[in-house]
Amino acid sequence: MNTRCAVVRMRLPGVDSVDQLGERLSTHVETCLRCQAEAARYRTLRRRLGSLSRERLTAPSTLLPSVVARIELEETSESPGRRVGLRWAAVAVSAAAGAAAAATAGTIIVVGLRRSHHAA
Amino acid sequence: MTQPEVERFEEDELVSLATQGDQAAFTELVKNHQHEVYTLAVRMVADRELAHDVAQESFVRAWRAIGRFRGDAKFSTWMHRITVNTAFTHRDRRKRTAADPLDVVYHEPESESLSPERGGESAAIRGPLGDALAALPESLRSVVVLKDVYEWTHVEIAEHLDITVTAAKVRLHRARKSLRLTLWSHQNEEGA
Repeated sequence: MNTRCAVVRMRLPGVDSVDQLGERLSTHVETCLRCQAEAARYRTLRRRLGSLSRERLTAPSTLLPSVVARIELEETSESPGRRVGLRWAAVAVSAAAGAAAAATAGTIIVVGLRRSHHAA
Repeated sequence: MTQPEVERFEEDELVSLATQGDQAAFTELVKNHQHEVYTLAVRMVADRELAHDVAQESFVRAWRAIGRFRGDAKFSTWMHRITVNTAFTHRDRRKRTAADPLDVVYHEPESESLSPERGGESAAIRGPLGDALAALPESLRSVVVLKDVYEWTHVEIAEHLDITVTAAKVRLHRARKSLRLTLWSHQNEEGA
């Protein structure tokens, strides 16, 4: 094993194909059976890892009900959606109270003005 | 309309309803994606029990955030990101509370009898590659799973794992080298 073989072996785990090793090293791989064998192992490894993406494990039967239960629990307590709804309700109540207060104040002022007008 | 197009249309409908707070629609999404999310969780944490908790928490987080889901990515992609983040939250929590972190070998309960379905799962996780993956330190396993199984880019991995792109590349290098040495242990690096 020469220096180039050592460099190829050092760099192979970090690349997705031999081409990424650069022209000089990839040319070396073409002529070196040991490096070709090592490159083939990493190719096989990447292919096998990639094939895992098509495999699905079966989730435990408890997963779905536990998620539904957690969500229902959140919804019955103070969920973000509920908080938003409550906030809007609070805004509406405040606005109505403000309007009522303003109307009352306006009535008092008008009545006051009328009284002072009559007195004059 | 082809079958995948129909499924995509139905999923878009479910996502649209769920974003408006429709709990039944979201439950359907959970039903459709539970196996995929659980699989990713198992691969990230290499522990079935913990993976169940990670998957459950991921869906709950998704429900809380579904109103902000704009559909820029597929729902499954969005769920993957949430699952990876949740796996890391659980890892950190476990690191704080346990003496032994997640860098442990995956253990299948010995007394558990396997149905044909569970037997299939077991083969998918275990086998030489599954065992080698589970034996990797968590920091290396997560990078190689995200890059080589789920085809994330180094940039995406770095963002989600809160590490630099260089660190992601270094971890991938180490992970692949470790897997290669484990899987072809009889053919050492000096050449067979």
